[in-house]
Amino acid sequence: MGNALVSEARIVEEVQKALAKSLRRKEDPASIRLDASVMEDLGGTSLDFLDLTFRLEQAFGIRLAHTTILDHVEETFGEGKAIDGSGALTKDAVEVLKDRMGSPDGLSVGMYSDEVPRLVTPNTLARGVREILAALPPACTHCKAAQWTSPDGAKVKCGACGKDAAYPDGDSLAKAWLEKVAKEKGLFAG
Amino acid sequence: MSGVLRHGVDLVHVPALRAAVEGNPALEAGLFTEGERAYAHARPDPWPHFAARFAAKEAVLKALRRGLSTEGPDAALHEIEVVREHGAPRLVLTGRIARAVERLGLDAGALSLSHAGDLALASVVFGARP
Ligand SMILES: [Zn+2]
Repeated sequence: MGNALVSEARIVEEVQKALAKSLRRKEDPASIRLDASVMEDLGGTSLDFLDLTFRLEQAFGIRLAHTTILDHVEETFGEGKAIDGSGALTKDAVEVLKDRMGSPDGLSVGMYSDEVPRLVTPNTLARGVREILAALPPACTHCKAAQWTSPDGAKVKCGACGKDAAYPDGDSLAKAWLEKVAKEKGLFAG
Repeated sequence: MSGVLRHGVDLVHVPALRAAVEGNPALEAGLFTEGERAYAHARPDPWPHFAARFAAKEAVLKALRRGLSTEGPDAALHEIEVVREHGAPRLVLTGRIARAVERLGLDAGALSLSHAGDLALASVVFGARP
């Protein structure tokens, strides 16, 4: 569930639309499988991937995380906690990625972080959008009115002053999520 | 980490980069630094220059075996900058990318760019820090 104004179905639809646009795919966007690998099954390059995430930010008026969750691990818990001296993922980093990405097959200790993008699916992308939409503040940060509207069902605006909703950014939400998960699972302690 | 050598190479299709940036204007500032944008726009055709710079960023990430963010546009792209003052282009690495290079015991990196027809190529080699 995103929030009261943006439905789950709309999140999925926008992810599929953005994928179809960025990857210049000819099929009906609704037929894009949500568990397909964006890179391997849908043929996305890293450039398409960047284009895609910018499109999602524009469609929903949000700012996705611009820092990888692995960098958040290192910034929060210290260098070497996510990526070891040779550049490979640590055991705890793999635990975090499993939780974050919905346990995709193919995540393993010792793999390199450049192998992670090929595990991204439309579902993973929808999850990042959903986390931000769910954090819609109760009232407008500009005029304090609690009158959200969404004329297009994707971008939320204030019904009183007309400004776009100021969601928390993806990086601060990712960091808060990480701290919670690390505590629950006892990760990055020693 | 003695005797280490890391190499990354990347090939970018210039019309694909151009189509992506023209189709989504937010992309240009997301991918390139102010300096890179100024440099490319000062050329008669900026696109081969943008493509070569994007290839350089990807080549650095490959050499470091570092993945781009899987959640959103990765700010690390701004931490890898191609600077060209007199003659040869060189890399300026900052922030998390610079720290990763330091941790891996690598030097400042050597960059080579090339383009032919619709393709732009970048090759990056890191040696051990002396
Ligand atoms: Zn307002």
